[in-house]
Amino acid sequence: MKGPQRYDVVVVGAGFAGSLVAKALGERGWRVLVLEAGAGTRDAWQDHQDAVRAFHTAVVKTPTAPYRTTAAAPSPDVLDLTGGRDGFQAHGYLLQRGALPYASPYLRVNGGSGNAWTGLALRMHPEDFRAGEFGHGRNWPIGYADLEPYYRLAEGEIGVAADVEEQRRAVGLPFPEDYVFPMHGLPRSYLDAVLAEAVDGNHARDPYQGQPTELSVVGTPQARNGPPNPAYDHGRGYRPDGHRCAGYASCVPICPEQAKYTPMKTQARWPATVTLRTRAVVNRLRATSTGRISEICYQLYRDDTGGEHTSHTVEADMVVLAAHAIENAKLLLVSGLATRSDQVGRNLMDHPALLTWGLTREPIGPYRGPGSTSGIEGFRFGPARRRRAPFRVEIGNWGWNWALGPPDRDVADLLRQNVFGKRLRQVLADRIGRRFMLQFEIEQEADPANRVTLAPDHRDRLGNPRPALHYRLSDHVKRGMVAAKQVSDQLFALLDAEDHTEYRPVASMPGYLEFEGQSFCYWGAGHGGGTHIMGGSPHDSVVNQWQQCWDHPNLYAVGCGSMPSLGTSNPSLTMAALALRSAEHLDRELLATRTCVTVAKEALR
Amino acid sequence: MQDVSVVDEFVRVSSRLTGFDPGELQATGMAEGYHDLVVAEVAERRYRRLVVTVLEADGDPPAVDDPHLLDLARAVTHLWYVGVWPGLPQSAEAYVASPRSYAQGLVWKTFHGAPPGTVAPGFGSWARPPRRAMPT
Repeated sequence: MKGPQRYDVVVVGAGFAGSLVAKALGERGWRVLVLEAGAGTRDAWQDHQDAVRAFHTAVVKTPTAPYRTTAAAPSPDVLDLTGGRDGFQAHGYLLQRGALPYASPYLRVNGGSGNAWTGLALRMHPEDFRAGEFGHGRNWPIGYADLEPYYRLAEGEIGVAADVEEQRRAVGLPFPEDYVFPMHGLPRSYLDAVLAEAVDGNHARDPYQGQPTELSVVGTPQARNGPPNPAYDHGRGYRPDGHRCAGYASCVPICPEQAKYTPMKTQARWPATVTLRTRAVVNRLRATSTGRISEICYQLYRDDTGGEHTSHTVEADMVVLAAHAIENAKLLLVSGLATRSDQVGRNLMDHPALLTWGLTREPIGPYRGPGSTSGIEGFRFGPARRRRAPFRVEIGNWGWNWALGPPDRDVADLLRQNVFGKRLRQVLADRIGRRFMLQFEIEQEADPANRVTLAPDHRDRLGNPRPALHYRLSDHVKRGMVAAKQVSDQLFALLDAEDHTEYRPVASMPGYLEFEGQSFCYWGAGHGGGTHIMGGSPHDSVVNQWQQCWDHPNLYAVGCGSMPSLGTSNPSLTMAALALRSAEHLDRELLATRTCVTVAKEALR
Repeated sequence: MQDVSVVDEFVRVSSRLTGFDPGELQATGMAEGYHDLVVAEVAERRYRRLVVTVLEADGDPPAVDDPHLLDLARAVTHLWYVGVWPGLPQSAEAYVASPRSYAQGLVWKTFHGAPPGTVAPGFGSWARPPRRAMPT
């Protein structure tokens, strides 16, 4: 009788972290099977062309619009949530049981949410690893210095364009003395330049800071192709993977010319030792009495719209969960694993983004270039984070798109008011040509009450329980919103811009809330984390510093779910650095088991 | 072969409604396709009434008072501006006419922009000041 297939490593999820781990282990000669729940093929070019076409023809261009999602592996979508006077309502895959909605989508498709990510590749600030010391959230068991070499590895692997001097000076990041990024920093947008002219050298006050903060518009590291830096890698230079960014202005949800990094680029570099199986939904892991994972159970489906499937099992020496923070937690919960700390599924975090929008005096040319090319960094660190959550100011190049949608809506509104002809043309030109947005990404601290649980009464098409989310924002986060809005007001004043920001309990603002008599609304940044939190002890954390489950030595849970704090930077680069660090650990562990086997065999002779 | 004069007439009506010159509309390459879409979507009589009303009306924009015709005028203008045929009647489902119709949406041309994901203006193009909006 033929037993189940056996691999050195099974990776669950072919997204950002899973694709990197698979490549790193495949290159070291290990046989890796990657099981991806969503659809997609290795014919990346055809899939890409289909996705671009789907984006162009979607009436509502959500982050998930280009991608071929399936009923068997449903993905949450931004359209699943609506707001209103009586609070928010949720309609989609995620069941929402909290006071506030968890407002971020993710993608179950080959390449994962990394297809649709914005491509901002910031490092965390050294202080972010010690968030707990400021009285809110948790410390990491490792620090910036431990992760620094892996940040460099990740920047090479995904291809980051940035100015190292500027990152040193304006963000305060330590780098090795001779380090440069693979590519030179991308040009900043015209909007960045206009804003810099107005605010650089000025100060803004926030009610929780003793001293006003000096303002400076700083270039943002980007995982999209620019001119390579010949000084990279001690003068060996860097060869970008693909074309230079030509300014398609659609990085989210899809870069038509593939100048932005996606996990598909890493998959293209996979050696033959890595096998991908898509439409393969892992639904349970089985462990032996000693805690070792002995079997990975998965369901294979063919049809995009139905739930018909066949069941399979596979064995591996090492299992790596890389299926997104919420899906990783779901799988651990379903399998009853890693229960010792009672932290699986808890500490769910995101970056609640406060958006503010307005009109500049003169046209600034919105909807050009990457979504954001610069930010203001001064509110990310410092003692004020004891009193309010820190935040990063991202300068938005795409009009009011994120908050209010594309200009389609303006056209419909004006037509309803019977505005036609030349006047229609003029009003639109004037309104849209001067639009800009500021995006305040606020740190949300680890809170064990924010959690993913299972909803056994609500099953998906394959019969697997759907995730139920319990989500809220602390007063610490809300004070971050108060500070962010006040900073926004001062930036608008310096820019002499017309503020059109308005938060209302309407369908398009499910994240509406009131705090200390003020109205706010947050949007989900898509940065889910914390659900298999990393720590220094098996009693209060799920994984150790290697993202290895304390309770299961051959099980790793990788991705943002391991992060004890998110800081204020977009987390993908940190996730990538952690994944590459874990891959080295996995390699050492695999080598150790092989050495033991060899020694044992020798002894039996 | 399509009767050219029928498309020309559609373009003249569309020009009055959209505020774009017939030449600008023709340059999008969408005129014939949009004409065919509109005559396929709405009753012939209703379309003829819109043509007559708009072409005979003075002023900019042309006065369209009949609410039934106004809905059609909005739909045709919406199609040109964003490439989407809205539900007409409103219960019907809106759809993007074609990938090209999205790329040729007039709303972006009002401020010399381009719809996301359709045009590659080149590395660093976003650093330049924008072209001025249309002269008023």
